[in-house]
Amino acid sequence: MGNYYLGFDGGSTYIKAALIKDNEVVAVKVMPTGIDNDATADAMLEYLTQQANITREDIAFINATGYSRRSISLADDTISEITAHAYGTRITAPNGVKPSMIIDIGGQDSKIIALDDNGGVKNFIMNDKCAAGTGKFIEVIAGILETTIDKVAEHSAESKSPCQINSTCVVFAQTEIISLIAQKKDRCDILCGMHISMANRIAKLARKYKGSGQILMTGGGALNEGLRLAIEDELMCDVYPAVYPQFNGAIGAALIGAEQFQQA
Amino acid sequence: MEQRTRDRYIRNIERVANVTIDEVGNGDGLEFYKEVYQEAFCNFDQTNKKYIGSYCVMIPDEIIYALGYVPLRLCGGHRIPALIGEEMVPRDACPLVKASAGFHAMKVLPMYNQCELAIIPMTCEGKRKSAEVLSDFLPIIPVPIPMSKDNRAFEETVNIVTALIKTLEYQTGNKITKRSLKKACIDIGTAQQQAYLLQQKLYSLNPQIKGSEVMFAINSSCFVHPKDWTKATKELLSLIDEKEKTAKELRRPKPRVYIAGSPISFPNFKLPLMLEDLGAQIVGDESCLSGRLMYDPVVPNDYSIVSMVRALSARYIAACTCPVFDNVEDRLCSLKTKLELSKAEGIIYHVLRGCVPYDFELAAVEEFADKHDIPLLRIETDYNIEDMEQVKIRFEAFVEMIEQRRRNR
Repeated sequence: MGNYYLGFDGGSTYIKAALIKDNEVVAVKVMPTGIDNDATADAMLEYLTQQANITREDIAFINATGYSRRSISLADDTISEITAHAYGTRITAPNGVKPSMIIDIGGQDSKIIALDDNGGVKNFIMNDKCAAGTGKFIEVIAGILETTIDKVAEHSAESKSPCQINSTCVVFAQTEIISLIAQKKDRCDILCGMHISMANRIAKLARKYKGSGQILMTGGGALNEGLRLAIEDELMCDVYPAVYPQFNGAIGAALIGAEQFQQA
Repeated sequence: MEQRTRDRYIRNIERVANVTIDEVGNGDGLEFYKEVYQEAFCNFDQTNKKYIGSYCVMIPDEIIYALGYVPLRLCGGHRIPALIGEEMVPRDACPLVKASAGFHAMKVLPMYNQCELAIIPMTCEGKRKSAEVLSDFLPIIPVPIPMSKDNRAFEETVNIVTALIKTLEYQTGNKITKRSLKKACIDIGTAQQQAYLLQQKLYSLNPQIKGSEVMFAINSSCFVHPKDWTKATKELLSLIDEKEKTAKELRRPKPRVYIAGSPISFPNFKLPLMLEDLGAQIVGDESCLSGRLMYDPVVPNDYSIVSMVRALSARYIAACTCPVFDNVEDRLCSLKTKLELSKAEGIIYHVLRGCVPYDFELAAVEEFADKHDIPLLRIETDYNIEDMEQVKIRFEAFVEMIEQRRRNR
């Protein structure tokens, strides 16, 4: 048995997997969640072992987190995503950054996690209304504007005069955006307005725990530079994107798995 | 059409009540309480018992017993009448007010039907306004409550309670005597002592009863005579004593969680049940319908009517830590004592959707929790079950966080 550890993060939109060894990321993989978690997890395990050039037996422990963690039968144990995200930052925080708060923007929820000096969870809040302030929101709006989620940041950066988007509900925001399109507003301005509106909502949650410490952004949302900059503008401070932001939960789960295995 | 609505209503009143009874009431020694709830929520036969209902926990039951009536605390925790009440009160009113309105409007349960009148203390906005809504269904006595806790307010409170007694005597035609009031004080006092002992059982490092079961037992006292309740609770306590003798120390004690905030009342036990399901030990609560319902004793200087009325006013109104009062200090003080006694490691702050007073005090309690280094999680919810998954994710992480904190120490 080797000293590789695997973490799965079964999110609402994607399953993420991270393979770690000696507290370093060896390989990662992301796939759409789909309807058969087990088959997806199997395929990912296959891919990661090939990448790392190891066998299944080299993996000492598999830990799963995320909404669908209990339906990944490969996993030896599970952990809630809050704890996993807190752990993940031990590897994903960029050099020199010691976060006291995580802003995690996932597919269907966003979370703010306050960390103590040891990197443990001090407290947390999650969006509790709907998909407002989550990746799903961006995806839907991008769809209406005939672009894709990976291009929204680029467009948003070109905006000179961002539109105002007042609705936080995805459905109502769609109506608002359709009327902006009818007014012949520029796509870049609409997207930039969308980021500002989301950032405004997220910052409302984040302000509660915002001390003088550093802020790390994780989740698929952190891949969106436009959103990150908008959050910085709202909070008036630096927000660092995590290294492997989308894999923070999976990496955290793998790290916890390693700790559990070594303690046992 | 109306008959069909009524049938559906009856069916679901019973079902929802039965679900909670089955989930909580099957533990050892809980048969009595289980029967109390079955009788109150699943038996629709009218009897000739004469009830006087009251809302909140500020009206002394002692007075009602002394008048020769059976008191009932009517605050509704049931989601089916809340659906009916939805159409009677504003959307943003709390579910407790909605459920209570629904219960009266549907005129199905004997405990609501057989109430000759109901007493509503003017505590929060919801209660104040529902007095008017409920007066369509039965005579209501609204009781003003001074919102301060100084001496002047206390003297006013005593006058109000005295006036309430006069009104009740006039309405019922019965008189309160020194003897009848003393007897009621003693009966309820004995029950209160047992309730206090029962709650202390949760302070143990390996409690031999669940927090939800304690809440279930105490909440049932709203619907049954204190003498019967005392007898059953004494038996339950000796059963726990027996279990404690053979209980072993746990290698990994469960994370200890205290529930603060808005009332949790039967059958809405979703928060405590979910917490326990995720491995937490509930070590106490400040819900007015369980943790605070019977915690403090009534201590009269002597058994003259004047002394007893002063003691009842002091216990039920002046000492009540409901956030409708203008000062939060005594609530924090009692919270501190209970957190220390119960060795709680986390606080779940329950906000019933629409219960603004409790939400207002969140900031003060958060600051207090922070100072004592106890994590706090605010959960806003109502009686519906649609948000259970979201709440569960938060609870799970909260319980894990407590375990993590233990390891870090």
